[in-house]
Amino acid sequence: MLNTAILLAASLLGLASLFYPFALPNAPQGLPTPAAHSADAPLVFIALVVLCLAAVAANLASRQMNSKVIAVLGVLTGMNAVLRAIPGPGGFSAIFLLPILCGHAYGATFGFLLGSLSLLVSALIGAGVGPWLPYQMLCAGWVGMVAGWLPRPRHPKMELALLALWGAVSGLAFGAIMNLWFWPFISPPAQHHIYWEPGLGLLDGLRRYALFYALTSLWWDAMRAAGNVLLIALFGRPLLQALRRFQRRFHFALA
Amino acid sequence: MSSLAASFQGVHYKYPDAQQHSLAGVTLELPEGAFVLVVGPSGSGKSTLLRVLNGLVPNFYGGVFGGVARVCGRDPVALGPRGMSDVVGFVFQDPEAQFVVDSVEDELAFGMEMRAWPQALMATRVQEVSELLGITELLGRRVSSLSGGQRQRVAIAAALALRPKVLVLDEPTSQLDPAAADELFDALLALNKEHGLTVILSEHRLERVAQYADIVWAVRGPGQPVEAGEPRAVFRTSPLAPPVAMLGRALGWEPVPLTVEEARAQARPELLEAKKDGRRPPAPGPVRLAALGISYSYGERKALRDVSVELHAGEIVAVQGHNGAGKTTLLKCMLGLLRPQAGHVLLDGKKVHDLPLPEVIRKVGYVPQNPNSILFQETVLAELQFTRRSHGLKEIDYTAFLSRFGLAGYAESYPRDLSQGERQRVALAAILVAEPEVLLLDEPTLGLDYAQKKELIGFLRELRAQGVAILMATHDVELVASCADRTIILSQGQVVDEGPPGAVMLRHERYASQIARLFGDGLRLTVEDVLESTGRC
Repeated sequence: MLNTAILLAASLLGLASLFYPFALPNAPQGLPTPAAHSADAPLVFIALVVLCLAAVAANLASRQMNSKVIAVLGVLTGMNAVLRAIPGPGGFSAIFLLPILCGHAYGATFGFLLGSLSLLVSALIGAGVGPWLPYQMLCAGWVGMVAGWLPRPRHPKMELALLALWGAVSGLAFGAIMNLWFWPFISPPAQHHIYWEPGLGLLDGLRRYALFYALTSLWWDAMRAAGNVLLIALFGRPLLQALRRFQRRFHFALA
Repeated sequence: MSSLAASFQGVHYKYPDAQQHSLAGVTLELPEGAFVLVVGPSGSGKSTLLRVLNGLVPNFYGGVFGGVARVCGRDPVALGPRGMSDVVGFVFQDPEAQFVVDSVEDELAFGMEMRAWPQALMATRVQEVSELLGITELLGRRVSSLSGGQRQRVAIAAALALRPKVLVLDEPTSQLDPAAADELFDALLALNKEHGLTVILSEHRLERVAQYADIVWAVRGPGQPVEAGEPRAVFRTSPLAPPVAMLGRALGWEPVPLTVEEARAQARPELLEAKKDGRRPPAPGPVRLAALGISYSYGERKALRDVSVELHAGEIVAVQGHNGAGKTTLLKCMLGLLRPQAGHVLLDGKKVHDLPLPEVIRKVGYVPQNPNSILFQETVLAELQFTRRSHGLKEIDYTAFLSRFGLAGYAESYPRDLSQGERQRVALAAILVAEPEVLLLDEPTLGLDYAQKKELIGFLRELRAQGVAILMATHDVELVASCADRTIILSQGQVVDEGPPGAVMLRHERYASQIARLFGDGLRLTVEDVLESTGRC
């Protein structure tokens, strides 16, 4: 229960931070992109890290996690952070493979923590820290969290297909949500029909965003989606087997 | 009345996803200060039983645990390894698995660091335990540069650094040479008798340790009750017993002897005098593999100095020697894994380093000391299939093949989850399934019990009859006694003796089997030999 509440709080916080600019009567438009969210991003970041730690503490207290699970989380986080350095075309990144598989094998909380913490670590070891970071952490966390909610089909091939499908969908969705952190803040003189303007209705806003997404982001995100599908198809099965083999050791029962 | 070091009441345990219980209805009591020997076939649950003592089972392995366990008045199941670490020292079968840091000195201090002991005390303890185990000269070395036996001693010293009340050792001498094993038992005995340390150890090579134990725990098999008793009582009936006890049982001696001295006191003179023909070594075939004056150094350290070895088709040659004498290095050079700095190795008359790798691999099979290093498939069956396929050989009846190694039920198991002895056999099977003509084995009996060793010996003899050339590095004198045609003693990288095992055992008491020491005629080396000769006279 506490667990769900913490994940919910983190998610709501992130959503609020992403969407409040749309409600501002005079959005601070025309800012150079890196300045977007410069005021609130650090706060969101700190709150998010605190909530991640709270999730770990809550799981430890309720004995859903123990030192072994934490060790696995730590090792996988480190590995995933390093995987981000693998170059690929467009938005391809190996960083979603493990959160999807682990989230599915070990549950939504583990998936969320692995996704967001590995983005944090990889940012610190070289990928770069900026106002985008808390949103990246949240989006990657959601990728792992939803993977944990997916059902487990009885047939291993169906399971892989389902995960690959989620890999494709999340590859696109990650980009679609991530764009929002800067989209409402840019408004160059030309092409204003693809940018946000204050006072625009929901439908007009969505139409403009769809156009913006198709023109600027789709190709980039498609490579990420394809990369996810490819990696899951190639490595999904042995990795899931290995993860589940370890899972059996996480807890013991008294008879 | 001394208090209890450990007690088990109705303990049962099942590994996750296991079909059957590893422990069931285990009830034992152990007084403080006892020296306990745990015996049982490979895979019978010895290691599992030991791992309950510090809570690794079930805290690390998962599964289902039942019953009550108490060690030094604490509950290892509730406290886990962390809560037991100051009273129970643990030395694993595979010492490599328990090393955390790079240097030997840091490794010895690691446990104390974790408990935040003052530095001065740590320095004293490091010195103390390294003297106790005779590893002071290793303190500055890196763990990765040590030989198997040196690693084992470092692991034991590290376990003793916290001065536990109970020391648990899982087959501690499996990688030690006979002299080092005796030294280790002397050290353990001193700790036990003088410092009151409770010692619990499992061991397959009973000839080394039977006489030291106060109590024997006989584990019959997975899920069967553990029987506790005096060594003499247990070894009167146990299927596993030291060679002299086996001989005593076969010849009806009472009480059953546990040492060579006891056996000598009971043997009738005519038995000792009786002679039999020496084993006739088979006519050697052509030379398959030869090392000609090879030398090899790891940096400054000379591992091999001008060593020449010939290996003929249809013979079994043993390489014996101290830990770190260069046995493994010799094997690796003969395989072409290491390139000697001087001299060369010939495979069928051609320099092994000039041959294309596939040709070497097709002819020569190598089973390294650590079976994990060659096991990487998902199932045991897949290991065998992989070897056959990568050698371009056609499929065979794997079930029949596996059953020869006592692995029939394990075809679908994950190799790395098996016990040490089982993994050893999987590695052996995975190499032998490629039908190599030359076989190099590094400590092939590590973790094997008597029955499996017997089976291995039968298998090696069969391969020899088929003309396979076998070279094995081993500390196991009983293995050498029962199947080697020749043995080579290495010391500090040099060949110091070579000849038929009987003759070499006469010259080197340390490398003599129990039976060879009992008779001292260089002819009777095993219980089998003796029974054959008595049958004849």
